[in-house]
Amino acid sequence: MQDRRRRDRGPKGRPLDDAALAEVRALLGAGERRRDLLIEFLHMIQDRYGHLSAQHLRALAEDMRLSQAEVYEVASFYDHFDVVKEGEASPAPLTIRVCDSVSCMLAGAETLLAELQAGADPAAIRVMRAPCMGRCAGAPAARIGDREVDHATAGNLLQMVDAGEIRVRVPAYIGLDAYRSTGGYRLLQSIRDGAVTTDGIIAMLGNAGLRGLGGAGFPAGKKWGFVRSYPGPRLMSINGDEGEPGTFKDRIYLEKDPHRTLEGALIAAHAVEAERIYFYMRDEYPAVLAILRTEIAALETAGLVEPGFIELRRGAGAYICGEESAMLESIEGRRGMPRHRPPYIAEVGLFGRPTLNHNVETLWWIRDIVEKGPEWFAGLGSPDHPGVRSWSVSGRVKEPGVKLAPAGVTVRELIEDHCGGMADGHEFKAYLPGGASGGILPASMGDIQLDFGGELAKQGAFVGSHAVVVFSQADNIRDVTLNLMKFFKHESCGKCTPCREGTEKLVTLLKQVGPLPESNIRDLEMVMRDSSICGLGQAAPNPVNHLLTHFRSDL
Amino acid sequence: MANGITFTLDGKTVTAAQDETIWDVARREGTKIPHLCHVDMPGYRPDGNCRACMVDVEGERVLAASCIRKPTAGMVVKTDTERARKSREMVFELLASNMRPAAKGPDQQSLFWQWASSMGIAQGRFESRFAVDDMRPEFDVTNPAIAVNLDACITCGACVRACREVQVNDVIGMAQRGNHSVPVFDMHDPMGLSTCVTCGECVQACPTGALYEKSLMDETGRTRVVQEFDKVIDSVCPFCGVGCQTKVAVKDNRIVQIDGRDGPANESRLCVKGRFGYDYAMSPERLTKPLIRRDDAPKAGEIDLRGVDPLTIFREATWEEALERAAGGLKRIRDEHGGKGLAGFGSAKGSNEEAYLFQKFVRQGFGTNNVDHCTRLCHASSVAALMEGVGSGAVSAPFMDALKADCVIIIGARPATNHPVAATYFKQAAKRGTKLIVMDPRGQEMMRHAAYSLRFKPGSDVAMLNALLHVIIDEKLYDEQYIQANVSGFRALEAKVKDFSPEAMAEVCGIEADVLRQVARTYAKAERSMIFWGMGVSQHTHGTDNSRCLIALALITGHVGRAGTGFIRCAVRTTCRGLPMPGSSRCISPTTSRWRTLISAPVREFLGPDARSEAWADRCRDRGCHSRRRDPRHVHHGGEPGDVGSRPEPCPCGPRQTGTSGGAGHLPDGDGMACRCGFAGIGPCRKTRHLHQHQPAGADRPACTRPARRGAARSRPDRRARQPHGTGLELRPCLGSLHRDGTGDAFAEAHLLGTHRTRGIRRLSSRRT
Repeated sequence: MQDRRRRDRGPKGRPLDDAALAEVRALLGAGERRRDLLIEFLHMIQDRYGHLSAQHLRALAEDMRLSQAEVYEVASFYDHFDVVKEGEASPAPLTIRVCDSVSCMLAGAETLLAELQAGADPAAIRVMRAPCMGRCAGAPAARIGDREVDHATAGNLLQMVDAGEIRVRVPAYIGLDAYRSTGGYRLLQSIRDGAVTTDGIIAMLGNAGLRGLGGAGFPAGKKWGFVRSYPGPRLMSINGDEGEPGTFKDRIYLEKDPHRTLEGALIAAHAVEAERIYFYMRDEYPAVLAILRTEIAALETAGLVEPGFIELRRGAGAYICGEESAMLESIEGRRGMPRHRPPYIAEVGLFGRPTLNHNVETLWWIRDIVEKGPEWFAGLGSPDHPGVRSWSVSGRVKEPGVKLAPAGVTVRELIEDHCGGMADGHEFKAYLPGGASGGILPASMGDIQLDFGGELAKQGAFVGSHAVVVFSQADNIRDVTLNLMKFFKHESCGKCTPCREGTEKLVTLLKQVGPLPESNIRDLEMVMRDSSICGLGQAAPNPVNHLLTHFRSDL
Repeated sequence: MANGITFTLDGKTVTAAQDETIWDVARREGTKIPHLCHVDMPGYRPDGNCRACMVDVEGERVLAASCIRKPTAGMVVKTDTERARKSREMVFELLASNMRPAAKGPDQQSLFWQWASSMGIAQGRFESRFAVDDMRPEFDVTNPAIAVNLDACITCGACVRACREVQVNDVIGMAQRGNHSVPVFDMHDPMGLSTCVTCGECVQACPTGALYEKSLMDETGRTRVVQEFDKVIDSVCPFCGVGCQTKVAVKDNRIVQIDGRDGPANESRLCVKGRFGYDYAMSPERLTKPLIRRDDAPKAGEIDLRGVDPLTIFREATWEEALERAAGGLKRIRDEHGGKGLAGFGSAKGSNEEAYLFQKFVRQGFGTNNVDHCTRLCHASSVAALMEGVGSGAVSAPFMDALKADCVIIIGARPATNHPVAATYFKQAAKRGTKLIVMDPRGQEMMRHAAYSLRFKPGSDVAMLNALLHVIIDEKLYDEQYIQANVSGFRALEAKVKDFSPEAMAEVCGIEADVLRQVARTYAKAERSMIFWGMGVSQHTHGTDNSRCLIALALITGHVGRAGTGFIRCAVRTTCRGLPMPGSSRCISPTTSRWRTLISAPVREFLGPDARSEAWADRCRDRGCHSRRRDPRHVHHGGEPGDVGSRPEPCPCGPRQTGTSGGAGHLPDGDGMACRCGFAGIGPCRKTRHLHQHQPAGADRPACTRPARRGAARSRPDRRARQPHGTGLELRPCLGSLHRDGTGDAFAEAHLLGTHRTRGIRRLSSRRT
């Protein structure tokens, strides 16, 4: 036997460093090392040391009584964690992330990246690509440290670095006192007092036609009924991780009037008798995180919620965690892998309990619907398309931003009536009706009423999170498609073959020079649609399908 | 079947059991659906990620993964629609696109290629993912036995489940995301430098050969070269006491691979020893010819022969010469000094058959009872305590019952190192919520899964355990009913541990009083608790006392005799546990022995005249028999010349022999009368080799209906019956427990492996394993 191990070699694998263990313990404090707080602990170490060294991860594993693999596999899943092993260089002290998703691509993100990389000292600044940061109306967007920047240029970014403007900047928003002074939380109180019943609210939401505004469009009140039908204890989650490229409405609402969402959440939690609310928030929104921390603490101080009832959780840079079951996995401290359905999360959700999950904006409307009446809300739309929606419009329009417009509005109406028309020198050519996964439609289909189902569905498209990106003659749709497919390839969780392999193969095929092998592409599309576990894989082929159907001239 | 779920599968009405998936039912019905990530072995849950098993469910928007989907009543499932078939083929094509051609790959006979070739999957239409993006497939041969070729990896996660859920070594994780997803060891470390213990479960689970045995591959560890085996033999692992069943593949008279077989003790799992520890069989250092010491070589006990050419000390000889030399020498000593000049010491590395032959050789050949066994050191102390407290040296539960237990104490054992496959069940139980309590002066791996880890001062076991007993008695956590029905001596125990409060013992054993209390409460209050102990308890100056404490813990809390309760002594070697057990009628390891004890005489030494407890004092202390003295139904095996370990001495409950002079078995209350089977006289009935309690003559006795032991029947009873009694033949008693024949007359058969009703354990199954 050749391999004779030297005696007394000690235990196998990476030894534990006592100093690192002491540092981790001091940093994490005396609290319980709950398994589901793993991602929060990783954030603490990343924030403090700028990266996750192998020794710190080993110490964290020891402290949490996990194995090294269990900690490493979670840390390596998320974009915002930098694992640095022995012998590897830790990243530069400051990171500038430049968005390279579709709206920012239109606004010159590639040039910005190149200029930055040329102009920044790599020992001091790390320049990175990043997927959609939810600042599409201010494209090209960037983030220096924790400071989010709109209309970024290489020049002003480097200037800000020199000036030390790298801390989070919290915009002015309606705080707790201001919110209460205009009637905030009175509805919650009356519900808690029993003046309004849960069934009553469910009926109102149904009449108003409030549907899930994260993309699935499920009737909100109906969901409450499902969750309530399963025995408790029940839990609630707020999905603040909507990261569909082109979407920024959630950020706008939380940066403007966060308590409206919180009150809606507390009302919903009361309705399903949830024992706790987990607010899972995109880590790409540092300002929103700061606001929520402050305001949740304020609610606790004011006695409106029990301390700890609303638990804020940071995402860590993974679009897939906006998918509700993947989000629950992330809240449980795991890799964000979507679960198999059935069972649905209303029955078996967070920690195996029935869970109610809502998008930020869905909750935002609850107070208005109840106070002003469902007819008011429904009437903002039309009989076929009740209700109003928040459209995140970006791209080649004069005035991009969040536009409140009725459900069933057309893209032409959005452009002309809400965005001041196309930008100068740009002619309307194509648009994304629902972010990267809703497909690409030509201008000739610009009069389709945008809503869940309907004509859009017949065209193989959907509104999803209502993120509309407008293209002009300056944009080659094949390039747009490639940009979207690269996004999906980067964000695929990797669990199932059709999505993991399909997104990668589609990018490779789109990149190649010359005519596209269309039957190969159609085969990929077929297996992704029919056999992917979750919506990412099922919807990812949409842009490619439309490219081959409507934009053959761009091939 | 009742409560089944009826649905339609490919036009046929079928019924599924509650926990069956569509794939399970399809297989049962003879429809083969391709599968990759679904590992069809016990202990593996389906994961539904490879999407190779897609089927069409009527009315659903997308296809369903049959391996993970459970049917509902009335569901209409079709496996062979165009849509499902094309999806499955695309899945295989996409996976194959990243791999080398089968013949050049790590295993062309892997499950993946078996399916791919049967489906006619071709490579070449799509570019490999390793050709783009500067991605290089990982190749790692740092592990001495396993080759890692990750270009064949389909990230199905079977290896992750193998390592994290089946073996629970927690070394493998699935790291990164998207098409960078990759199985990793620890923090993406080389396998040979990680905490991997090379149990090989991942190799067994991997469907593509991405993780594969080097022994079947070429020197570089890239391609399988051993394609066929000359034979595959069903066997059992020769190493520890778990008794994992194996399949040994042989080629050119060499072992080339060992795989796990689905046995009751291991469910297809193995550890590094069982799977890869076979190279010693082919080692060039093995003795192949008999060697006799050279006349010019001095005899010295301290010579270290490692690395020394044996031919400098020994010379080759023929078998005849060597046997002559050995037998002649032994005979000479026997003739000069008599039997007592010789002794034999057996080992549990031998098989049961070898052990039997060896003791026969010593007793009959040497004519002495000077034979002992390595289990003297390992188990004698535990066995003594068990015989005393429970009346049986057997374990009372299989270790897999840990999965049914709510609380498991592990003391004096390091199962993760010494009984790795048994440890997997403990770890699985811990992950499912069973509270593990690990007591070990040294830290050990199981402590990571433990609710309580007690690193007590070495040697202070009794102090610590008595403190636990104190808490249980003091806080009235004992099972009153159980004690009244089955246990004697409780009052004495209570009095004894009165002074052993946790506060008093904390200093002695080095565990905080608070922890001792919590541990005692956890153990006592759990619905089902088990104790698993090992050599740390028994290879000990007061191992018997240690074991007594543990048995007391189980008996006063009633945690014995039900599923998920009881105690287990882990046996170090294959036949350790079985061989010495004077009282076992239930052995869980397929290798343990049913045969008689070899340690009767020394046990008696243990069971000395000093009573250790009231219960103990009440017991007849004759060799192995622990009946209550007053119990008329127990029989002493005293006096037969050939009787194993017997000594012609009076029964301690008062000589009641009649007409014997230490000859045949005597009866405590009877008078040597005719055996009901007709043998008039005293001594074992020659017909069946049973020892019967002799009934008063004249009464009409029914014939014994208990069948003879299988062993006895098999070994030509006729011939034995003709042999005179007392030739040293091993008595092989009937394996039964005390029974009544219903007429009120006591009729019992003496048995040496008795599970007496009066003991603290309920009657165990008389079915032998």
